[in-house]
Amino acid sequence: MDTALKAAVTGLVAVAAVLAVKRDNPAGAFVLALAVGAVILTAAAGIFSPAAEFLSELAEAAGLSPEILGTLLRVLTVASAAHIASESCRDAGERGVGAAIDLAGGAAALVVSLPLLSAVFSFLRGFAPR
Amino acid sequence: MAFDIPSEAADFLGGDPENMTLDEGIGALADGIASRSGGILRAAALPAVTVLAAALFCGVAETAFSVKDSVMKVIPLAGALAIVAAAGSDLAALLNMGRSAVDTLSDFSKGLLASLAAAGGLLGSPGGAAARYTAAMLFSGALATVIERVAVPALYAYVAVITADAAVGGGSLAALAKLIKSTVTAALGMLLAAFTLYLALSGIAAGGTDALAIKAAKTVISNAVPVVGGVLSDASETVIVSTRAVRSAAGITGLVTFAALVLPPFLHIGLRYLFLKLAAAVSPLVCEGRLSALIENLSGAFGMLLGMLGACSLITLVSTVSMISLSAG
Repeated sequence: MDTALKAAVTGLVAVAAVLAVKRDNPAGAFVLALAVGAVILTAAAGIFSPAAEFLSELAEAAGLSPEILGTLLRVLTVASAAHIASESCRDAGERGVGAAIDLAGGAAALVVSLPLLSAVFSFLRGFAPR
Repeated sequence: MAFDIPSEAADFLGGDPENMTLDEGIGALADGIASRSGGILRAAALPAVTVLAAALFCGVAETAFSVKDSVMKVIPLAGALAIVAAAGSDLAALLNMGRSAVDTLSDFSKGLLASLAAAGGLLGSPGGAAARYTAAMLFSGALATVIERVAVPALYAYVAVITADAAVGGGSLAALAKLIKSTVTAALGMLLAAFTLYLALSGIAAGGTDALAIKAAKTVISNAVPVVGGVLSDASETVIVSTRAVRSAAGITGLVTFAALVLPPFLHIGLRYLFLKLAAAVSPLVCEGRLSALIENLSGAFGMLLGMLGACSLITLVSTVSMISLSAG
């Protein structure tokens, strides 16, 4: 809860600061926004870690293979990173760059999820008339 | 005994069913189920829990991020693949189990039917015995062909389509999945209907049965065996008459052995079907609609498998019993 409150306050203060400097120094405001975002994410890493451990324990208890869970986590990480980056670009008015990041992130996430696709295909390949 | 008792049946019953009375046979079947129920339940619950865990993971991710637009749309796609990957290996293992059970059942019934046909011939009805044996072999062979060439490929196609439907979203392929399921139901149903017609025309399924017993059996079969449950329940009169014939004839060993061969795969597949249905019912609480629909559709794949096994079991049971009733005079 502390982390969430700190993140919220930091974010609001940062937004105020960004708005204050944006007119005179848009590039600086953008860098400031990125830096604050990075700080908030770093602080939130402490929250993600126990959540990931809990999900890992749950998956182990449920018999979900580590490969599947690991792949899902990688997909989530790649997609989140791309999402945050593309939204930052859109905030800076660079919609084109944001769309490119979305596209690249989507492609990367699909590539990361290939082991899952491979597992599904290996099941479907089992269809072999005797 | 002129036919071999499969080792699987002897293992399940904990002894040779050859010298068992009907009560002893039923007791051995109950003991066999009781001694394995814990393991079967655990094995059946695990895939449902696994797919639910994958769905929960995706649900958490969906809650944390908006997946309505942008790159985050890839999460439900990965979730759909994860769910099918988690359940697919289990489905493949059960398919092999079902195939193995059908093969064992087929070998057992061939030996049993041949010996019963010979007994029928000795009792003065060689023409009838030969005709029933030939018809039984014909329908069993046709069913095996339909399952191997139509139902099993359709099952794989069904899983592929429901996976694609969940990955893409929008339910655009739901109609195709429904069509595949209907095709399997129709193929199995037509064969069973033809078999039932054969029984009716040959007078094996004569009347005189208790209407209440038939009604109860229809309800039970229709509810217990999904997909082709309706077709099987329509044939329940035949089953009841046949079962009576077994009880009144010297076919107890055959019936007990048949049950010992059929019950384990039925329990394995049936319980997985039920647990996946349960997971599908719970899943809307933890994930978005298309993943819930995928889990529900996956249970349908297990239902198709159950229907195939049910159809094979019905034809084998009725063929066997019709021969027993003939040989018993």
